[in-house]
Amino acid sequence: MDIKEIVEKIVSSVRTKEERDVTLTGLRIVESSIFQKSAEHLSRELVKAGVPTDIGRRLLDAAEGEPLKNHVPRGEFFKALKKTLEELLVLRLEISFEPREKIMDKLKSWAEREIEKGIIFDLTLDRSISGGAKLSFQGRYREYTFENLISSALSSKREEITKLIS
Amino acid sequence: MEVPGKYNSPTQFTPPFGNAMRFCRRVIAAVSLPQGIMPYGQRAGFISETTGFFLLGLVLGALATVLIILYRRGRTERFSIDMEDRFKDVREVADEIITSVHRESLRTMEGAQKQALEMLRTTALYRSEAEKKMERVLEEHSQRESERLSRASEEFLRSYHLSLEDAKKIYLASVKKMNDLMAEETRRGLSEFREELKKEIERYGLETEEEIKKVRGDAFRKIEEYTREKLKKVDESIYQVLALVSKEVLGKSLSMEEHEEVVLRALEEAKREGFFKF
Repeated sequence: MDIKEIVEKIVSSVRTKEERDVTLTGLRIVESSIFQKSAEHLSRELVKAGVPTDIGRRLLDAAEGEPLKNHVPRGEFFKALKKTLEELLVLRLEISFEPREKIMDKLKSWAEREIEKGIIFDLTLDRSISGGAKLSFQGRYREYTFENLISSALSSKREEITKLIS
Repeated sequence: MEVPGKYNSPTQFTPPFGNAMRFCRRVIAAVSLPQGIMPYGQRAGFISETTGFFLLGLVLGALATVLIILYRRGRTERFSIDMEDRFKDVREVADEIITSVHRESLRTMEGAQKQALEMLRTTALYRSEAEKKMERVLEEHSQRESERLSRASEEFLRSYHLSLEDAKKIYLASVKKMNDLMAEETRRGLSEFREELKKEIERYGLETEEEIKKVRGDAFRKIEEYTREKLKKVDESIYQVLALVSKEVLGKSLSMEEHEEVVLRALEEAKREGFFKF
């Protein structure tokens, strides 16, 4: 398994901006202490830093695992991973509910499927929205909320509605 | 205070040698007849006081002369007897003189009285005649004057009536003329006023009509605008209500999966609209 595949594997498990930040934090910890501390110790530190277990495991595996042990220099790996993580594009979503793991997986799957470049999500709860989402991406902004949907529907059906109520 | 020898009042003469003069006056009065009243209120006696004094003076003068003559004839012892005799003579003479003077004065007084009476009678006569004449003259004059006044007043009345008539005619003519002028003026004024009023009413009517049209137009316009505004607000309100209700209903009626599905649909829509184009 080359660096690219390992990096892709790690990056594919990063769904949100928050996860990216903790991954980078974990990477920093691992990069700085890989030869000074044991795996167990590093594992504890990663947990302490809030790095999700699976990401932490992957990082450690990537740092000490077979692929790297044999042919891949760790420095390049850390560098490539960091670069890839930092290049991920952030899609900000304001939604009306607390996102579950399931929706985050669905969103990540959709993004990997529909959009070429790597995208992670920055999910925010907005109680003023009754349904749908507000999107911000690369300086662009759209609202796909119920309010907009209803307004559009009312506008397109205005004449009919006016006839009904008059 | 009486000053002897002076006129102390306009009617009173106080002669000198007061007491002697009073005695003389008494003497004169004694030999005078009662006084009468002359016309015009003068104090009248048959002789005047001056004449009385003159006569008295004459008597006394004669007496004095006799005495002097007797005294000069002889200043002898027998003067006293002579004198007595002479005084007796003188007395007799004086008595005679006094009697003659008395008689004379009586005659004078009678004459004066007669004269006075005559004068009185004449005066009375004259007065009576004068009075009669005066009365006649006055009567004639009064009659003439009353006739003259009567004529004058008749003339005056006639003239006055004529003047009055003339004045009345002139006045009536003036009044009539003035009335005619006023009537004409009033007629003209009324006619002009009527015309002006008519024009004014027409003008006012037109203006009012214009104004009413304008106001009506403004009112209609404002009503339309208001109606439009209100309808617009009503529409907006309805849509807002619909939106609110729909939002609330939709939001609460969807399940978690449906909400998640809506989010995914939103992403799909965004992709379709080119939201994720690089």
